[in-house]
Amino acid sequence: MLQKLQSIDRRIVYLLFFVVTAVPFVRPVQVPMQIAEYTKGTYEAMEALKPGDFVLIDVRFSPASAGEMVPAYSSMLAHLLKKPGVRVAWFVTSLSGAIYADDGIRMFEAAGKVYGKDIAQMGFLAGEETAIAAVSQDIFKAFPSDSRGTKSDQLEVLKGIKNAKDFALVLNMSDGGLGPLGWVRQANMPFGTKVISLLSQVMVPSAIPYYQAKQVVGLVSGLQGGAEYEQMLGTPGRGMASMGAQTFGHLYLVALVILANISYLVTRGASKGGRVK
Amino acid sequence: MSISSDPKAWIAAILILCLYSFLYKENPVFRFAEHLYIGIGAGHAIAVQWNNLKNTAFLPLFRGNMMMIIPIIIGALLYTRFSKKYVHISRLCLALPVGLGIGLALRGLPAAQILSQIRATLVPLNNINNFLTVICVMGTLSFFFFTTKQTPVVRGFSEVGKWTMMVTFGLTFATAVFGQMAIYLGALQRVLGTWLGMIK
Amino acid sequence: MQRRYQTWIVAATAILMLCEQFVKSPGLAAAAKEVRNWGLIVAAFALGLGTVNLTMIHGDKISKKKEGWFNSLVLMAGLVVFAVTGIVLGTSHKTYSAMYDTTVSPMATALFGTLIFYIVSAGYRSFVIRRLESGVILASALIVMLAQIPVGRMISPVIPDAATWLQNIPNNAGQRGLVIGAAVGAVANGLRVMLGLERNFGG
Repeated sequence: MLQKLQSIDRRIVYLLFFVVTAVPFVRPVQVPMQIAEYTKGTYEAMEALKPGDFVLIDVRFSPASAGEMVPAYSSMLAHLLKKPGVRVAWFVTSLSGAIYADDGIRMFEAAGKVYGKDIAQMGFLAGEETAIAAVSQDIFKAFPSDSRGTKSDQLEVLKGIKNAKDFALVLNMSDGGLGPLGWVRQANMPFGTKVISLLSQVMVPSAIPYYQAKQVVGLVSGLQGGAEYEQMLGTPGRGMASMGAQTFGHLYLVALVILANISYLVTRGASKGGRVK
Repeated sequence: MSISSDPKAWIAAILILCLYSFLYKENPVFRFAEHLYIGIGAGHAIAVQWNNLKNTAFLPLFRGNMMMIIPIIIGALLYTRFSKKYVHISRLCLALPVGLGIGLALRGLPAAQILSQIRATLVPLNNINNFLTVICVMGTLSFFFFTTKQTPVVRGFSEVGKWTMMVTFGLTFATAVFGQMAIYLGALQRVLGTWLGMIK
Repeated sequence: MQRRYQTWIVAATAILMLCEQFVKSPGLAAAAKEVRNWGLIVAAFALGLGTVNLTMIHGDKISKKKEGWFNSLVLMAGLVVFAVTGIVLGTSHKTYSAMYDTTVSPMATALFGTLIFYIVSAGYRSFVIRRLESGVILASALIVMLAQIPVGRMISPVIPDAATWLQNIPNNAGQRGLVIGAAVGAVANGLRVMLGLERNFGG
């Protein structure tokens, strides 16, 4: 029987996985959550923003990880919207990031922010760390004009901003590449700029040393972090709604791994001298 | 359940199902969607590239910054890569961004990744966690000492480093599972939610 | 000789970037800024290299009606439609965004979303404890996964605390060691490239 289980068709395993995740997705299940320390760090850094502060958002994620990143991204933008007088500019270091930056612009414009005065989308720059270094050293040199062709020195949102020393906060949103490292190297170390990173979950363990060394003031870990952020903001959204499906999906995988190991140990024990049933 | 009447929702859901059909077995429908994705991705790259160059190179050039001619020529010469006779020119052009990357990394790296991390490791050895942190960091570094004499001390630290990295890889695997699960749930949202209207 | 020129350009630009950091000179800073912006523009030009290669391969397939030429035609059609629309309307335009959101977003999500199925299947077939090292990897992964779900707390209240401890102490220490080691390696490799000892980067 255990040997039969070991050779089950993988498509049955896939189908069961689909059922186990789809049901709690369609009928959301409330799941208690523990908020990570680094997510709280992010929240506190955003709460500390004052009117007139300038925030630069570096959007570096692709549609592939949108499911993971967008809930947290939307929550963080919603949090920024709650801070009156904070100026926000987006710039993009990945090919697809502009789509999400433009979504952010539309979200802010719908809330009454004025493009050019409160917000701006500076556009795409190729060459990840080179782009970060260029923006950190001199934002006007890096972006002679914004994504709409307006000369940067005519944008009120950039008034008084020259380099990373003038950024109150950098929000780095990455699903790959250097993650927060480029900002740590080019902005935090030379200028002392505060950096927050929204990362895909797989990148978080490798970003922990930078958080522990206080080079990054906060991290948000993918969909889980998005759910935590929604909870802190008090605005339940897709992040929290997905936690039930996540929970059952993980449970299924854990059960499979345990079952596989039990059957391996039993069949190995049997073949080493016990009776094979 | 209320199926969407928006054609965009239908197209998105059908494309998702085309790609997921690979889980059953490889088939022409999957290959069609896969090729479409690659083509659209490449087209998007061209569009982004054009808009970027327009704002950072061509507009400043037309506004009087004649220095922009230099990077435009260097960038255009990158395409000699496709010529057997002039491919060496593209290598020279490639040297500029490579040198920039090295220089920028070298100037930020020692402070950000070496000194800061060492400083963060220098914690008072007044509790077991701090002690373990220091030993495990030293152990991980020792694991990669391939050219030093493998004394019992070095081997001991290497062993500690090995076990530390096993834990690190385990956590990386766990977070990779979370991440992949979240991506899959994004696709599920499109099909079950946006298309079939099954999610409230 | 070409390799030597290549090395000189790499070394010169790298040294310029390093000098900007350590030598306070307005002329040097201005030169560094200018060269850095050139690098951004050259990197933007480089984005098209892949597309040109793709066009050559699939264009050849279509023109010679090789096997799979119809899919190559679909690829080229997608490429042309999006390139032309993006250039004419701009990538920020509502229409372009809608096109992108209808096609690329769901397809990218679906393609990468198949990986979890392979992980689940591998979890069942391959993640068995054959040695102590794999046992430690699996045990730490399982503890962290269980800690994220309510079942973990139900099994034992120690599990979430254990997961936090694993993340903050051994994982942090291991990652820190890897970060420092990788940084030292990157410095060494950067110096090798600048000195012309590393020849593989030019293609």
